[in-house]
Amino acid sequence: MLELEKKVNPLLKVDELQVNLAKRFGGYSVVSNLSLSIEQGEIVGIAGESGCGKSALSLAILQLLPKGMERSSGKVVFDERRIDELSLRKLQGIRGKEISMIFQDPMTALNPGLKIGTQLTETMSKHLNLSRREAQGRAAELLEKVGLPRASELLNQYPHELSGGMRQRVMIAIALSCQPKLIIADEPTTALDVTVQAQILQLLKKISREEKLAILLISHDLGVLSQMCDRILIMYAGEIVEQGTAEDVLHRTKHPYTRGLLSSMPTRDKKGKVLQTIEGTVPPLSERGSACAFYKRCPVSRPDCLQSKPMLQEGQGHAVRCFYPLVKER
Amino acid sequence: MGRKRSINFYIGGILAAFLVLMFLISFIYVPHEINQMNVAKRLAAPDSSYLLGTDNFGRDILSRIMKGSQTAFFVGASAVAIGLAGGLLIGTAAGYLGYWTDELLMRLMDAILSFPGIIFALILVTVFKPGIYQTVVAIGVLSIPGFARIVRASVLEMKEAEFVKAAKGFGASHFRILSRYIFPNIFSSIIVAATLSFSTAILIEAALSYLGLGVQPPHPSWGRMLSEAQGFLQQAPWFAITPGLFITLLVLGFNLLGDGIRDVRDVRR
Repeated sequence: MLELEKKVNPLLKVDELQVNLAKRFGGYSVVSNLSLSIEQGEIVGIAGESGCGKSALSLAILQLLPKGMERSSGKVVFDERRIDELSLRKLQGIRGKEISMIFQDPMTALNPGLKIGTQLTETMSKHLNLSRREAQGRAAELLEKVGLPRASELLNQYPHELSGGMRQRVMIAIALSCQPKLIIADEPTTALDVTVQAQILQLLKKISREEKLAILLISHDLGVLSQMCDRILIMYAGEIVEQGTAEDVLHRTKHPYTRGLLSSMPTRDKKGKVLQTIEGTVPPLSERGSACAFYKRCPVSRPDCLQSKPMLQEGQGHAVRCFYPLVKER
Repeated sequence: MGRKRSINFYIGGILAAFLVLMFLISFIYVPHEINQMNVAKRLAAPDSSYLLGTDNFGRDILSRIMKGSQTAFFVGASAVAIGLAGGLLIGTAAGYLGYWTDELLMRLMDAILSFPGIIFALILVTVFKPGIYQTVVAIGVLSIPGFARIVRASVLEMKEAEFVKAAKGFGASHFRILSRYIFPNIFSSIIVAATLSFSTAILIEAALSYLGLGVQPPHPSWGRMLSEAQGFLQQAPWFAITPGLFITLLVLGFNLLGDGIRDVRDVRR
């Protein structure tokens, strides 16, 4: 077991989680044997290409996987309780109250037919037993906290009257409304433009620091993660290939895939040069076997990478799944 | 809303409003008692006292058309209510639960749909003797599959909507998701379907009554007026034309209105 996870009582501990497609879709593995832990107040980022299983992972934590995908083994422990074995009713008491989710597209994540105020107070009245008036008052407070002035006016507006950034702030307000301990944010800023994106991220970070709120931030944008996260996990083909502090992962990169991701990010010092990419695409679910999943695309692969699957190897909090990890600093 | 309303919406709306107005007036005023016969003026052409002429018993056609609209609206509305209730239940179950529930229910609906509607209605009214309530039930049951399909499709679409997933993520129960997140957002497509099947129901009622198997005397019915009139087509064409025209106007009006609503609906953008 990894050293990082031996610390006492992490807030969330995912242990050897396995998510498969349903049998009728081939039963392929989507997330394989994945373990991670999040401390209270910590911001952990997960990065990876489309199809690497990051969303499936986030949905599996709250048992929100779509039909056709199922968690076949592994444990999810939150606040010292197994939450992977709870009944639906008990889970509904945790969703939104202790663990909240923020979704990718704020344009469609709010109910178009209900006023902002109603949507805010509904979640609260479900979980917190507040009276209507108390809930209304708290709704206004929350809107101000997420940087939306004129709260009383906003409460009576419908989602279509708000801009994308405002809607995402409302989503955050709903997510915060019951003072959860953990927020799972699945690409919360992907659908927003860059300036709004920065504001939303700052807001999340500020709230996390102020309220000791842990955030599991899922993104394909390493730039976003580098600004936000204490720790970063890099996922590839349903597995963690590298994890460690943001500093370690981004500046003492060990896995060739992580390096590939970093060098395909446009930055100022690459101006005028051809942007590097990682050749090929994520292997389809049916072609994930017993070799290193990154073999085909890896610039430093050797023949024996095909012989067996590398394990996640730990070294001072910085783990990598590679037989020949990079040693040079980037 | 903001969306441009189509010409259909206006034409349909005006026709439907005209017929609804006539329907409402018929409760407080008709020019003549509908069963009052004027033997001296049998099959009379339209004049100042009988605006649309008289039938073979000398009864006022306009008054009978007006009273007949009560039958038509009653049959239409009740049949839609039955179809909507059944369709909402079955469509929601099929769409929300999915899998074998979906298969089972929708194949059942297909079975009903595969049966020619008018023949199904004929069998029903033959088994349970003809009458207005039997007609309503027959037409209502026949319209269940149509509603069920539309509701199922809308529920399926809404079930995958991001805001429904978000609601689940915030701990909403199935009941809450259905009542607060799914139903309000499929309401507009249901309205369209209800408007369209309202006119279809009235058309089937007219057809059954024309065959003598629908609404029975003394309830006046447009369909039966048509069948009574067919022996007098040459002497008194207005006798047949008038109910025919009203059936046409009603079906046209509500169909156009339904299409028009479909064009302007979709507040979701």
